[in-house]
Amino acid sequence: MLQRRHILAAPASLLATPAVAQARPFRIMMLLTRGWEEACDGFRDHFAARRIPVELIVRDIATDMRLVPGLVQEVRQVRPDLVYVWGTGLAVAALGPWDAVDPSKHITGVPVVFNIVTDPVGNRLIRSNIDPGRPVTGTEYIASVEVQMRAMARYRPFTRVATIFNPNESNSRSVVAQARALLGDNLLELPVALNAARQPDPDSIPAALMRARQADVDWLYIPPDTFLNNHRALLTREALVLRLPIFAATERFVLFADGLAGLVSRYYSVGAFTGYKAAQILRDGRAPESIPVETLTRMSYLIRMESARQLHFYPPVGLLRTAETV
Amino acid sequence: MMPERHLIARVVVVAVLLLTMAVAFVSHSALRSFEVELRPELEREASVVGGIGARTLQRAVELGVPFRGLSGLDEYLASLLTAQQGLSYVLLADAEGQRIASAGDGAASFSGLPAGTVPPERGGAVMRQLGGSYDAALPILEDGRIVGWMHVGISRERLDTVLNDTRWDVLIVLLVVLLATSEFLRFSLFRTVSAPVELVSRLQARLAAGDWTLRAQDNIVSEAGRVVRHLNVLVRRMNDRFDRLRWMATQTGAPSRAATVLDGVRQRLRFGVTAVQDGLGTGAASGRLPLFLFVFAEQLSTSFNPIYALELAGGQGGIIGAALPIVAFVAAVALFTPFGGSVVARRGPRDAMLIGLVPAALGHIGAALATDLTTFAIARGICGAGYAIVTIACQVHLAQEAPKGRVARSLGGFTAAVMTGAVCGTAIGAVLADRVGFRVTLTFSMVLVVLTTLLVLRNFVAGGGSEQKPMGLWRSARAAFSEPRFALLVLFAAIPAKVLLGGFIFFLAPLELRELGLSQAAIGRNIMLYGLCMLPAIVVGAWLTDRTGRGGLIIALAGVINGFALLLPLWLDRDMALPIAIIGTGLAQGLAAAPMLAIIPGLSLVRGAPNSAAMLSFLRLGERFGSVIGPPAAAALLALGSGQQTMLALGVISLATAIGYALSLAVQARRPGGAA
Repeated sequence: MLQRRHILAAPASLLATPAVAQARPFRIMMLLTRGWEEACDGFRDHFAARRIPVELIVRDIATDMRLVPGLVQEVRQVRPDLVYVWGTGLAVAALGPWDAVDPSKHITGVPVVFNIVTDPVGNRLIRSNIDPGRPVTGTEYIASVEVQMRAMARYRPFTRVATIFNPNESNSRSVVAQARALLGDNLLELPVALNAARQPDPDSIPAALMRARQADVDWLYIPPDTFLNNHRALLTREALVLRLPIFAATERFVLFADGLAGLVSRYYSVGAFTGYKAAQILRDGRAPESIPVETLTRMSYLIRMESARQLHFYPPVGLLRTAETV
Repeated sequence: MMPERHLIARVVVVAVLLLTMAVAFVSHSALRSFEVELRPELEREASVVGGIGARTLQRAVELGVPFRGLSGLDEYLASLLTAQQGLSYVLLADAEGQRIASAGDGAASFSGLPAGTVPPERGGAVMRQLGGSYDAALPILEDGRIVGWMHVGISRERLDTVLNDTRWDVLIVLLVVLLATSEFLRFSLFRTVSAPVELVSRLQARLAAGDWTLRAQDNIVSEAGRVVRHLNVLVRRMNDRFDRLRWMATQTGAPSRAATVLDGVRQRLRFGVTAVQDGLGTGAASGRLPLFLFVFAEQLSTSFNPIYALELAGGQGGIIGAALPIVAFVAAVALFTPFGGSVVARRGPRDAMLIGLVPAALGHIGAALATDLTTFAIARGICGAGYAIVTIACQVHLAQEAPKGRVARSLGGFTAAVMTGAVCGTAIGAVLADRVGFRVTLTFSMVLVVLTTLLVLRNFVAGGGSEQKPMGLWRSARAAFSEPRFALLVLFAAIPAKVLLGGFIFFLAPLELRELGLSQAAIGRNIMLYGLCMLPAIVVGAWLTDRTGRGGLIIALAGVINGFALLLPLWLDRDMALPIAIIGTGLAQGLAAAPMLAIIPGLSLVRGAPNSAAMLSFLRLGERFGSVIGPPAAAALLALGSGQQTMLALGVISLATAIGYALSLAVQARRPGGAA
């Protein structure tokens, strides 16, 4: 799927000073995992709001990782001013490890910003958040697992938690590993079963949830997971039926499904923050390796009240002062 | 007491009483209006806090959380309670008034609103007074009906505390007004009533004694002035008639016989108008107002000196920077006190005062214009030099002008004027600085010093310098301290008294009071007890000294009282012992103030002793030494033990020195020619 979006929001006379000298719009190649969504809106709007002319060349692999080598090849031919990469799996495939880049397989010679990526250090995309170690920077969008567990306990204290995840996704595995380190035996891990093609089977989700119900867990925690996101309606509905309260690490399980709560970065805000880092590279001329990878300082505590009513699992009054109800 | 003194005392008492009643009435009305104004403010505050708290609960209910299913209430109510100071409780009750959850001590005596209570039509809270709290209740609605009430209680104690603080502030202002009024009245009455009446009495006495040679100052504007002018006319007419008689005697046929008769008259009466006129004189009382004004001007900056110093240092000076101007002032006072004594001895009190007022004025204006800490410290040092000279000049003036048998009372006036000026100046200075800033307040100090100069120029009579040849500073000191009574007075009375003042009143007591949990204002009020008790004690001490002539004994007694006051922690709890010890210290130091000064003029008459100005300056120097070592001595004791132990140690020091002084008096009394 190929798209080309031009953002030429303002005439040259209205551009900010550095942009006045800009001979042509900045060309940004956007590599997306599962189509255009809120984070991409935030990224685009950051440039529009600041009247920075950009030409967006959008490429979507629709979760098909086999398309990645072709994209890398295209990047090499087009030579855009910047590459935007959405998603952990795509970033790992297109960029490779920071200390073992293969120019024949990975993107090189172009500044890169990544967005909606989980644990970029653990996934070896960068050396460290402060010092990426390569011309790649970006944003994180997940609060640390410890902060998420505390947020969950603020809604209702717990002793046992179950977590369901796609064992094929490095981002999910990374977060589950952190949760395991924190909760130990009190974490019930429910990997989605793989079919003969070693792909996660959505039909196995209800059985996994039933195991959680039988284990009498207090919460069902959903890590950042593209597969589960694609099947979030089934997952959250089934959890409601089994009276399992869901706490999610990303917004879509609560905003666009029946998940109960979550401590999340709003995708739109994370996208805009990534746009800010891209503008530092394009407009201000900063080297990407000198820009630290950061997360938003403000997270949103989302609560879906309809799910709370169905579960009779109401949030404490104090939480309602700060939480965003949907 | 002479009749005119009775008159002055009565006028001052009546004026002060009337003023007290007027100010008390105005203050009472102001306080009542204050309460009337403040109560709705507190109720509004309770209502606002209740509104915020209820809004979240209402939101929860509107989001579908059933009222009975609200969770996390204890934590939520506790967070509301801690978010706003002065709340006695935050509580959630159901529609029947039964408590569901609560936070805060005040909730113990809570009783809910009766079922069916309707909120005000315009919205807002149901207000009521519940025990010691103002209670604001806001309804929580579910499906349009009241399911609960959010209650917020604001303690009345807060209102009472604010009112109590305001009462104290009003009382302090009242006290300042009364003290200042009595000083001005005393001066005014002396110049317009007492001194002219004394002048008339002096003239009458001279006329009655047959002295028709002198005329009185005739520009006095008062009834007594008219009498004086009539007496002047009478004197002139009598002299004219005597001259006429002498002329007529030469014209008679028997001039020798007439001359014999006139000689007889001349032997009984003296005639002839001399060029010298009798005037009002300076008088002890008229020395008090310039002193009061001068000290008032000096103390205006007391409350903000360290803060101003820190401000000038731009936050770089630290504690040392804040203390630098104070140290410069105290050091200058100590250094210039002996110099002031020698200036007074050479030039007399009037000239010495005028000399001392110049650096004082320059110091104040220098402090007002200072742009850095060093300049400010130097300016304060210059002020200190002026302060040393002026105060010693005033002391000598009061000693010189003291009527016979009233030396202690006259000198007690010095301490009283200094204390009054200090109390008024510190209190008003803080208010002024708050309103017009530090620099303008310091400029105002300079203006007051100029006013003091004008008063001295107008009312003080030149002269009064010692006829003795000046001995030089070192020789004077040796001569003074070789007189055992003086040396013992300084060592066993003056220095210990100031050690206790600096160590206990200015250092230890504020720290201990803070430990007891008192507010800064309350600490200030407790410390003020010292000054308030000292003022009447000065009068009593002076009166007793003049009455009994046993100044030394009174000084020793004061030391014993001070010692026992500081030993009170042995018998009383700290919260009781501390204020009583402050009162005891004030009383004791007040009692000893006048006799300590009154002893000096007598000692200066001893053969070989320096003049009283020099001796007073050495006494003051000793006192300064005590003031300087008091706080560090107390701090060192505090570092070794507790506050109570430090008090006890200071008490033992006071008792020991007082007993030592009493024993030395007894030894001297047994010596031939010795005196107590």
